[in-house]
Amino acid sequence: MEFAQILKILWARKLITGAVIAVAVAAAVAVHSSVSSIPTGAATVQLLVDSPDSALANLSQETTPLTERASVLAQVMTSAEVLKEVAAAAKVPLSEITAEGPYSGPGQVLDVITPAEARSNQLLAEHAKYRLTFLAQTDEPVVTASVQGPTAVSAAAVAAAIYPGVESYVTRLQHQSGTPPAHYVTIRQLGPPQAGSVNSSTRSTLTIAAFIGILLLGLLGVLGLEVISRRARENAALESEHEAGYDELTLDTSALTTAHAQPHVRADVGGTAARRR
Amino acid sequence: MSARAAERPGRLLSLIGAVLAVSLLAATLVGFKPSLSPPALHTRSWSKGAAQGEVLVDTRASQLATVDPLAPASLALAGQLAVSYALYLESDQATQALGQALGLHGQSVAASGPFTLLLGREAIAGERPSPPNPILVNHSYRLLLDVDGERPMLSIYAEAPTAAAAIALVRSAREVLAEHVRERQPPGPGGPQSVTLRMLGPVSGGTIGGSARWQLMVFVFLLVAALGASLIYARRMRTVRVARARAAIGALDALDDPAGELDEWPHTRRILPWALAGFMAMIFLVPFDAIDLPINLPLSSTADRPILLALIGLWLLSLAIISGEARPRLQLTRVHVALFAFLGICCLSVVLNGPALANMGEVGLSAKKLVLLGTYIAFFVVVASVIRPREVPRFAALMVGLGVIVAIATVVEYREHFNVFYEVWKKILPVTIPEGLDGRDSIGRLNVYGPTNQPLELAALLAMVLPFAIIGSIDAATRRRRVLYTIAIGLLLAGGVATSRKTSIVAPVGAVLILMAYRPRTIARSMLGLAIVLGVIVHVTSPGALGSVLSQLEPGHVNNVLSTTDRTARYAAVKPDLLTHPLIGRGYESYDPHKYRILDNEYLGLLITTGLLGLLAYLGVFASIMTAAHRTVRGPDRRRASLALGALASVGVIALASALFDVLSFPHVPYLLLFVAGMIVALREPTPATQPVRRAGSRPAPLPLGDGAPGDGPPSPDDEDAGRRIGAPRRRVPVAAG
Repeated sequence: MEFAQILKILWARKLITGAVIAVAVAAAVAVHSSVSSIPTGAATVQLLVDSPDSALANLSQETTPLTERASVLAQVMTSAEVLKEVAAAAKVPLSEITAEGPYSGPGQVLDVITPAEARSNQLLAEHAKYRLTFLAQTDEPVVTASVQGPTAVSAAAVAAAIYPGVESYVTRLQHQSGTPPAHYVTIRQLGPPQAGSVNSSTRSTLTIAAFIGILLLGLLGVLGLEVISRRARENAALESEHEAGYDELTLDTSALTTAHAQPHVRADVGGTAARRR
Repeated sequence: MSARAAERPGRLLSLIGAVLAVSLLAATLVGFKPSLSPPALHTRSWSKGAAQGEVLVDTRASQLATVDPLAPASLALAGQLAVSYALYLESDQATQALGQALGLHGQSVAASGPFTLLLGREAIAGERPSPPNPILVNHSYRLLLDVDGERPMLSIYAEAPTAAAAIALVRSAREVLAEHVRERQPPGPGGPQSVTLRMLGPVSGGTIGGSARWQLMVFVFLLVAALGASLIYARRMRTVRVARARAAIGALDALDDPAGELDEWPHTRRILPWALAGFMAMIFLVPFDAIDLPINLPLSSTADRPILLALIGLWLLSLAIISGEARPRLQLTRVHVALFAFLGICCLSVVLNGPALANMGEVGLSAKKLVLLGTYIAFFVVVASVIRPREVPRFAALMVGLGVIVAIATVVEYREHFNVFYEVWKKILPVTIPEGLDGRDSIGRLNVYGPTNQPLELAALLAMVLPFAIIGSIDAATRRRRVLYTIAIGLLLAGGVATSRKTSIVAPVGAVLILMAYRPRTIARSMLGLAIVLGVIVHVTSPGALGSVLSQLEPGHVNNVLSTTDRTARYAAVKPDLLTHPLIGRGYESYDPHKYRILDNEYLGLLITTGLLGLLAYLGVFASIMTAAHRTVRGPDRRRASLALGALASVGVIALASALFDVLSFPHVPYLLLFVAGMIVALREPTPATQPVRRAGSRPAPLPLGDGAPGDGPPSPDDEDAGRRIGAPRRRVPVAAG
């Protein structure tokens, strides 16, 4: 089908074409305005795993044991036990929070392809509003927590809740295990959470994709229906011509009664067949 | 109205009713399992439950919350202990106990792991015969233990028919492990270093593929209904179909017929065919995917982008300023429709799963790939509108020539460990050398890249050219040409096997089988006749390569070689992804192989990312190209038929290769595939008449009036001034771009 012919068909079917364009525009607008479902906020906060008399201010104290604990703590922070505390501090439901990591230092081995059982759980967490990632520094007792949330403000609120959540868990653990206060692992927050906006182009990307997708499929549908109806008309015309040929043939043969007419009928049959071909 | 016409509506209605009934039955069978006694329909479960829980291996005086400089450093020991606990949970004793806890009537659950520790390690132990296991394992209940070996946190994952069962399985695993530890501890409260298992929070879980059943039922209903409707439509329209096919074939000229002076590449001053030839040379000779130009283009700055943009710009310019036969023929064929439908579905797959993709930070990747797909389709539109039927044999010959150059360079790379493409281009442009170049893969095969980014891509590229060389050899008019084409076949095969990939044998065999399906005797006779010559060429040029590839394909070995087991292992691993979005997928190309897993299967990748609809549309692209070629293959013009057959087999190679690697991720193959598709579309067109080229909107020069005046009437072959008088494209439009 030539391009000019396509334009003619679309022009001839102005209403349907217009409806397809309108639906495509409406879908694009709907996607663009679905603000709440696209996360646009991110925040980070750093936690120092320390001792009561800070290791950073004491030259006689080795930081290696603290670094080891920071690495383990970063992993424990992804568990439901700590997330429960964080969710409570941030006043969001636990089901809206998911966490992953740590993907640094020895934790890099965790960032691997996963078998089906683990992948199923990743899929269940795909729609969680708040996604937390914990990265433990290789040589320092510092854990960096990143939060992605619906808005920068809400992401910052959850990031701010990480410190009280983790501290609450560690304190409970210390009470349960009867740790002497002098040996407490002490969690310190290194400054307030840093928040900002992310995914700025996501909405426009999805808007354009929605418009193109619906427009393409809609216009192909319009053209497809037109082709089908044209073919049906052509087919009907050809078949009526075909049947008219048969009717003529029947009339001719009924009119002919003499044996001399038989060759003529045969010739007619041949002629009709030839025309059909 | 005749009696035959009168009975039609009733018959049509009954046919439609039958199709709907069959569709409904098929959809019902997908969603429900029928039983005869008692007669009933049982819901067929397509969903799965999944759950996760963590356990911290700690001491009574918690290691995690305490910093005691005098206490022994036992975190590492606890990490090792966690591995032991993970392995205990995989033992027969534990899995049986878990089966008992879940009420599985003597069956145990399946357990595996820890995958974090095992990944990346090669299995060096040979397979030994093992006695039959008397324990029945219920594979619907699967437990996965994971621990990294350094930190004492044990992750427990479970899959079961329902979410509740999965959660129960994780809980039971925790209890069984706690019991195991308790049993091994001395009675009493224990010291501060005694092991304590801390259950890290509640077990979380949910259902995977909750809507899969309905989505599959809707899909099957629509698919069967569409197939039935197509059959009815095709049957009813057979008259017009036959008439149209005859008219189309009747309008075609024979390519070998002399047609006077034609404006055909390479004897043309049209720029676009030359630009296409240049683009094809780039596909074969430039590792463009590894060249990142220092210019700022949206999404990607690989070397093909500016060239493609220039090509499209030139094409648009031609459409705008050129008229007459030199203008690109813009049209909508079945191949265009299939490609646009595929693009539309890919766009919708991203939109419908947009929020989740945005949540995972994967919209950018999908957008990039959608733009790439759009550029592939734009390339096809340009090729299909520019190439003329009489140019197809010349482009096919060019393709074979370029393929032979690549094959020779591949053989050199195999033998001398020197990649001429990367070595030359890195002196001119910023080339990123692939990491594995000149290295060996996990099973010891040499990585031979040629101008591509993957040995599989190179093998597919050479296999695509092979059918044109075979057809060229068979149809060669002279002995010299036949010998040259035979050498080309040998070199293409040698280049293919030098990649040491199974695809280098599987793909050419697929191509030959397709050729044989149309011309069994000719192809079989030709290939048998050439077998010894080709064998010698391949053996001499790439010594050892053929044996290496054939050994991978030996019976009993083909299913055990790591590259095959890796592929088959993925089928089970991606099941959760398939069940989550079976109809429209998780978003086109959003399944990042670096983040999730390398699938090495385009069909599987599309099934995950675009669902059944996207996969169907992708298959539709192949079907549309191959059916378009089929009609020409069955046509009366032998030359057109041969070229269409070569092109059909070439497309068939990629349809086959799509099951062996992710072809859309490697641009050389899609570009060449769509070029060949453009050739197929061109072969269905009649040769355009030689007409003057003129600017759009400009009027042709008025013909002089009067009897016997020069230029009056059609030009005769003897009239030397005729061309100059009538159109004189060279004078009126010095540079014709179309």
